[in-house]
This record gives sequence, C-alpha cells and structure tokens, in this order.
Amino acid sequence: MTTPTETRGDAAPAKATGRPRADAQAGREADGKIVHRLDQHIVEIVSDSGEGAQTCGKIFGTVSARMGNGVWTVEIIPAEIEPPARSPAGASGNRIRLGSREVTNWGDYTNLVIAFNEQVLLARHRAGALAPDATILLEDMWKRHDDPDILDQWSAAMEELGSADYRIIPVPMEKECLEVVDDARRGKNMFALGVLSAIYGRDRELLEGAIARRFAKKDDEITRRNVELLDRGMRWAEGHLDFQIEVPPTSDASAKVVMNGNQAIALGAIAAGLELASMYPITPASSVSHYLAEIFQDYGGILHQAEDEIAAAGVAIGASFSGKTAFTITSGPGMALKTEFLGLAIMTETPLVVVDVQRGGPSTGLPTRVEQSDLLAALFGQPGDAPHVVLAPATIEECFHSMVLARRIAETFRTVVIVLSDANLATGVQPFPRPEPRAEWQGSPPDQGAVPDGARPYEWDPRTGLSTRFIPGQEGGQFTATGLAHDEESHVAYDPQVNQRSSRARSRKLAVLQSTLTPPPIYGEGSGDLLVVGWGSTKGAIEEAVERARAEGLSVSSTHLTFLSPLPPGLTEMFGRFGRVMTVEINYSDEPDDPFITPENRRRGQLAWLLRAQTLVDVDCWTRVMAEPLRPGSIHEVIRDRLAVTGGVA
Amino acid sequence: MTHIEKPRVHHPALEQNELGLTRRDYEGRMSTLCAGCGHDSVTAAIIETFWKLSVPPHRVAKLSGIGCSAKTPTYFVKEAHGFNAVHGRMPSLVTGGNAANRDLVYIGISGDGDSLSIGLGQLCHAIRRNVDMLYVLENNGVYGLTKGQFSASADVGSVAKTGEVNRQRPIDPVLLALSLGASFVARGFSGDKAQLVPILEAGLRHRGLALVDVISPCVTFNDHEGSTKSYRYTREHEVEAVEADFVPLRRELTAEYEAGDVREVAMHDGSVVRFRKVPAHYDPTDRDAAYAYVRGRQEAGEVPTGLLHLDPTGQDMHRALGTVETPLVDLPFEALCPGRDKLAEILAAFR
Repeated sequence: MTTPTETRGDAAPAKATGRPRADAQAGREADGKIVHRLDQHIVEIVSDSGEGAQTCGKIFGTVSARMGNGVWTVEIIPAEIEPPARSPAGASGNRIRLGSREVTNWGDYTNLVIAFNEQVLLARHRAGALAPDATILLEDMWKRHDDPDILDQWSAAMEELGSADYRIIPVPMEKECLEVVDDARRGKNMFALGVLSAIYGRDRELLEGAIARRFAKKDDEITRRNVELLDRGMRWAEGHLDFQIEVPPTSDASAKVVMNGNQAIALGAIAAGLELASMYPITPASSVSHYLAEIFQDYGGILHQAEDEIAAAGVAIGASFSGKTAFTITSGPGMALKTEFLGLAIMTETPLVVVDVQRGGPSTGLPTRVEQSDLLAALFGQPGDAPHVVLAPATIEECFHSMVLARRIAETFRTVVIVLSDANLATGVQPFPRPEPRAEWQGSPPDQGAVPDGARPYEWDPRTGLSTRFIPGQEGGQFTATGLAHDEESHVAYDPQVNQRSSRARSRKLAVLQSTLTPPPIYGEGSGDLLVVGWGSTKGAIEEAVERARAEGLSVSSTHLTFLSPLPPGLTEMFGRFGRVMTVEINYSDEPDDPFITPENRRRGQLAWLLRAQTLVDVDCWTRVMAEPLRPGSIHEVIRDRLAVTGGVA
Repeated sequence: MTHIEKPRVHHPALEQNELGLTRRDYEGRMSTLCAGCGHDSVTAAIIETFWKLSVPPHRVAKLSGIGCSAKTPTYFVKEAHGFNAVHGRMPSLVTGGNAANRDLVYIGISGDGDSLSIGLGQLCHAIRRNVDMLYVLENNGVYGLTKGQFSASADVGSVAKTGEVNRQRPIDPVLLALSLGASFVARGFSGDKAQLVPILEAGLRHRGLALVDVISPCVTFNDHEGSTKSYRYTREHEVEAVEADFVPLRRELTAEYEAGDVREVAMHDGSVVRFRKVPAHYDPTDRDAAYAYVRGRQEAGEVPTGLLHLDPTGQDMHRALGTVETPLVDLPFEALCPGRDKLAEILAAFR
C-alpha cells in the first residue's frame, strides 16, 4: 500500500492516520488500515456549483440510511445562482451526519471533507464549519496547474488553512476521472462517492442501485460510466488511504423512508387528501411543489402555480369555499403578501392550510438560509382580531404528519392553520418510520346533501363557537360569505352585539382546540434548575445539548412546542417547577448586556415574547441568526453558562 | 350595508321557465345603490339571463370583490351561493372554486377599480387560464364607494365632479382582453338591456372566461357634463358594432332573418350565437380584426358595443389541465388521487 503524500500548510509533523473524534473507540487494524469505530461522524462533500457534489451527498446519505445509520444531511447552498468556478461563493455540496443512533440534527463540526478545489474548501473553513482536526481529501490538480494565478491562489489558501490543524490528503481526482470520462467535471462526484464509500464501508450494491435510480431517465451508458467512476474511487481509496471509519448501524430495523422536509410536506399533503395546492415560486418552499408535481403527474391532483402569492392564497380559499380544502405553500415574503387573504379566510371561516417554510428575513432576507423569525408574524400578522391555528413540525417525520393534522383542524374548526417549517427541515434529509397511510387521513368529501330547513351558515355554538360549513351547490345551504362583519345568516351586520358575538365565536374555537391538547412532554426530569423551551426544527439540537449537559450532572430539561396557537395547556405550572426557563430559537434577540439594552426595552426571542405574555413567567432566551441551524455544542455551552458552570465544554 | 328583503308576491300569471321558476325567483335583495345606478340595470339583465337559461339557483356561485360593483351579487339570484371577497381578488377565488368544483355556474362581478387597478393582475391571469366563468365588469370610470376618485378606465379629458381633469390614459378592458387572447369579449351599456341579455346568455354558456365590460354610469359621481362615462355621453357615442342573438340549445327560432345577413357560430353545448349585424370586413371570430376595429372606432371617439369577439374553440382551464370530469369535491376518498395504496407505493420508493 502506498502512503499518501501529505500536504500541509504548516510545518507540523504529518500524522499517519485519519483522525477520529474524541468519542471514538480505540482504532483497530484491518488490512493494514486503522479502523476508527465511532458513534457518529460528520462528512461533507463540497465542489463548485454544477460539479454534482449535491448528488454525491444525497446518494451517500440515502445509502447510509438504508444501511441502518442515523442520518441528517444538510445542503451546502452556494451564495449565488451562477457563481464563478473556483470561488468561495460557489461552494456547493452536502453535509452528512452519520450516527449509530437516530440522528436528530446536523451536529457540530465537520470531521471529514472531500473538496473539489481549495477555494470551496476555504469557504467552509471561513464559515467555521470544520472541526479543527478535520481530515480533508482535496483534489490536487490545482497545485500543478499551468495558470500562475491558480498556483498563487493555491498557495494563499494553503497558508490560510495552515492556521488549523487539518490533515490534508491530496486526491488525484481529475487524473483518475479522465481514465473514464472526457470531461472530469462530469465525473468527479461519482469518484468522490467511491472514495467516501470505501472509507465508510458503504454497500456497493446499494450504491449501484441508487446511482441507477438517480440516472433512470437517462441512457444506460450514463449509469454504467458512473458506476465505473464509483468503483475507481473505491479502488483508489483502498489503495491509497491508511484509515477507515466505521459508524455501526442503529439497532432499529423497522421500515423507514428517507426524505427531506419539503418532500415530507408534499407526501403528507397527499396523505391528508389535499390534492389541490396553489403556490407562487419562492425559496425555500418551491421544492414542495416540485415533489407534488411529480406525484400529481403520475397520480392526479392539481398544482396551481398562481400569478402571485396573493392569488395563490385566493385559489386555495376559492377551492376550500367550493368544498375541497386546499393548501398553499410559501415563505416569509409570501406570507406578507397573503396577509389580507388570511384575514378573509378567518373571517369567513373557510378552512385553509398555509405552509410557511421560513427563511431569513425581514424582506428578501436570506432566501436559502434558516431562521425562525416568522413566528410572531404568523400569529399576529393579520390586521384586526384574527384568531387561527399555528403549529410547527420539529422533525422531518412531523412535517409529514403535520399536514394530516393541519387539514383536520382546518376543517373541524373552520379556520386557517399555518404550518411553520423552515429551511433546515426543508433541505435536511432524515430517515423516519415509514408512515402507514390511513383512509381517514384523507377525509371524506363534504356532505352535499340538502341542508335542513332553518339551518344557518354560521350557527355558532354558544359554548364552542363551532358551526357547520355549507358547500356551494348544496341545496338550502346558500349564503354569501363575506369579509364584512356578519351575523349567523352571513348577513352583513354592523350591530355591535353581533360583532361582539361573532368575534367571541371565532376566538372561542382556539380555546376549544386547546382543551383537546395535552401539555408537551418534558425531555429530562420534570423539575430542576433550568428548562429550555424550543419550537420547530431546533428540537434535535436542543435535546442533544440537554443530554450532554445532563451527562455532566447539570439539572436541565427541555420541552418542545408543536402548537404555538393555541399554546398547549399546563405551561405555567410546568415552568414553575424549574428555577429558570429560557427559550432557544433561531431569531434575533438583544443581548441583555449590550449598550442601551435594559430588561424593559430588550427585544427577546419570539417564543420568549409569547410565553412571557401568556404565562407571566420571566422567560429568558438565547437566540442566534447565523444563517445556519443551531449546533448542539453551542446550546450546551449556553446551558453551562446559564447554570454558571465554569470551564469549557468537553 | 343593510338589507331590505323584497316581498315575495307571486302572481299566478307570472311567466315560468323550464324549472317552473319566475323572474322573481332570480331576484335578490332590494338594491341599496343610488337610484338610477347603472349597476341596477345590469342586475336586471343578469336576472333575465339566469331566468331565461333556467339555471338552478343553488348551482350558481356568484363572487365579487370590493366596491359598488361588489354589492350587486346581493341583488340577483338570492338562492345562489355567494362570496363577497377582498378588493380585486375575485378572479383567484373563482379559479380555485372552479378547480374544486367545475360543475357550478360561476359568475364574477367586478368594477373598473376592482379589475383594472388593484386586481388587474388577477383579471389578466383568469383570462390567460380561461377559467370557465362569466366575468361582468361594471365600468363607470370612478370610485364610487370612496366618493369619486378617477379610476384606471377614466378617459383622457374626462372631468371629475370636483372639476379635476383626468390626464392619464385609460386601461381599456376590451382591448386588454383581446390582446391577452380572451375567448369571449363583449361590451354592453347598462342602458341597453335588449343588447345586454343575449350577450350575458352567450357568456354564461361559453366554456371559458367570458368578459363582458358594461358601461354602467355612476349617477352620483360621474354622470355630469364633461364625463365620458355618463348616460348622455354613452348614448351619444355608443355604436352597436355587432348585433348578435343567442339561441340556446333546444330553443325554437323565433325571429326571421334574411339569408346572407346572418352568421352563426356554434358553442360547445350546441347553442348558437347568431351575428345579425357586423361591419363590413369584420369577423368577430378573428381576434386581430376585432382589436383593429375596436381600436379604430375608439380613436374616432366612438364607444363600440356588442359581442365583439368569440372563439368557441378555446380550451378552458380544466381542458388544458386534463382534469377528471368529476368535480374534485365529489371524489370519495377511495377514489382520491393518488389514493392510499398509491401513496404507500410512493412511500416505498423513499426507502
């Protein structure tokens, strides 16, 4: 076996092995290689946009999940649509966290990278994405390039990278690929897949199957060549690397599906019987409609691409009015535009499901990046008193099931249900137990039989505020829905008593829904020094942080809210059992010790704001808007800080 | 907006349609618009149309946006389903409604503010999709509910009640619809019910979007000297360019025509539009010819009216999408697409 040449930016002595994380079991030898057996490992593949790193990462993640690993993948999205080649702005790829248990979040820092050039690697280095002792497999063609500018860039990059303690292993990707294809840019991703697969011992048959599926619509020759590149990558790694990494599979052998949050929303919508979706293209929500379009094309359904965000809401409301509950998908800027229509749906009590895949804001903000900054807008964004339901899936599995829940609530309570997903869930890929679809998830068509004499379209039950919806075409069910204040017959009424009564009915429905909910479960002990409260996609990271802190003996627990409107019952009592309560969120909040900031003017995290108002508990918060998901390690540090534990995180 | 119920007095001699209903059965509540409002005449024409075509009231969905025009659905077909929505957004609601239940008869009532300003995009896209609906645009060149501001259809030189003169070029819904490829474009005048009713009948039977722009003067804010949307101005400048009759399926011919004067255009359900008087060199089924003619007459200061363009071959939204004949709303969950079993199959592909 040949020992790879080491390229290092500094003069530190070369190490002989790939570096395991601290939690690794002792390495053992196999075929002359050191095998590191690890509980978890984070690997990423990064290239210029268009070189296929995303495809490579997706196949690697899917195959890993099928081999039984816990997996969470995150897309590395270039900052620009068509960035120049070899630029940090163009870094594109996929980051895969593998675990021997269920993986619930993206983790902390990347342990192993395969990079197609040094510039995209620099982007990841500068983003602070890499563990200080990461192993880097780097295309080495650039350091021998004819272009002196590229040689200069290479040297400068090596110097900059030298500040960290990376182990950089050169890989002759271009040279190897040219043995199989004429244009190496079209082949490196499969070669890289082969290298990674050899390192992590991925099953070749599964890989081949995944490649065949990926290129199913193309010539067989394409698949064959890609498999050849895969094999070449595997052979190269076997012949040139001195280490392997083994992340054992989980013990859970139940049937799983592997998908991202937007796919889960699309499939959940179909499972819920929502075959009419309307949308206007917007990042990061659009891919929901791409998945829906694929399914509708084969199986039927209407995907309506509207002329704008407003019309998209209108079409969904029109369909719901006609008796087919529909949904619309958008992100923050689209939510802003739909505001007027949400008010109309709430006022006319027309069922409507709205999915907001949150991105950074305000305004156009950070289109591809995660934030949880739409919470208060989702809750209170409509002028006038407009009570409605807001719920937030915390996992990709919940993205699926939340659509079923949302439709049922929308119809039962004749109201708007906003589902708050985010860019982290939208693009993250995770395996979860395969749902067993049930007929009742889809719901029956609305009863279109004649309406009994005397029945009224808004026969608000004085106790619950609920009433039975009439459908156009139903004999005797005729009424004119209106956004104006109206009475039980839907007659426009400016009578003060009617306005008070109808407002009460619409509001009461939320209390009735709340009466059917149970307090959220607590992760950890039911009482203690600190309770961390989260919502949405941060659940996995928060719970992992709590677990680490608890392992150190800290008295910390967490709870996670699915319902934001209405809030679940029992929160005040629950909060009372902890010394301190704080939220952890991906939205902006003032730091308490910043200039001018006082407890009175401090703008807190959005959930903290809500919880303080509703429970009168002095809820603190820790929030970040760093254009990425929260790391469990960062939350762990915050927990230690809040509990005044000195010393660094182990 | 208060309601005044009309007394339901049925005279045994009142004429009945095929459903045994009288015109009274197609009325709505008492209008609360200003006395003499053009919109009330449009309402009367709509009532006549629905009665003549024997449309079952409970199969009608009437939608509107905001404005004086938006109030009018209250005044016709009381026993229909209605949705009085938000400003300029009626077209998207009809689009969604029609997508979910294609079996209902959709009529949308809008105005020049509702359709040519705040809702211009929605109008254009409803035309583009050719949503199967009758779209009545009650056009008076002025915002009535907010007390007399110019709308986007006000002509250059038209004088407001306050004396202000409009200097902005108007958006003309007929030319707009023609340029967007609308399959049915007509203009009527609220003061001419005899012309308007056959247009509305044909529009209701047309499969696709039928745009009927109706000059409907606002007696309170835009019926004075100097206004180009007044009764007087419209009467003086209106030219009935195209005279047409609508002959519903199964109806006997009642009028005599001289051969050679008449051109018949069959609609999808077998009904016939009979063009009686058409200017020389003008083919109402030819969109370009219609555009050139209307534009030319308007430049000459005239207001050409009639069923100006009809293309019965156009595909409506459902045809273009290839959706099932059964309305989505009627599909039982066993038949819901893709259905439970298919879903399990799809999920299996995500292993």
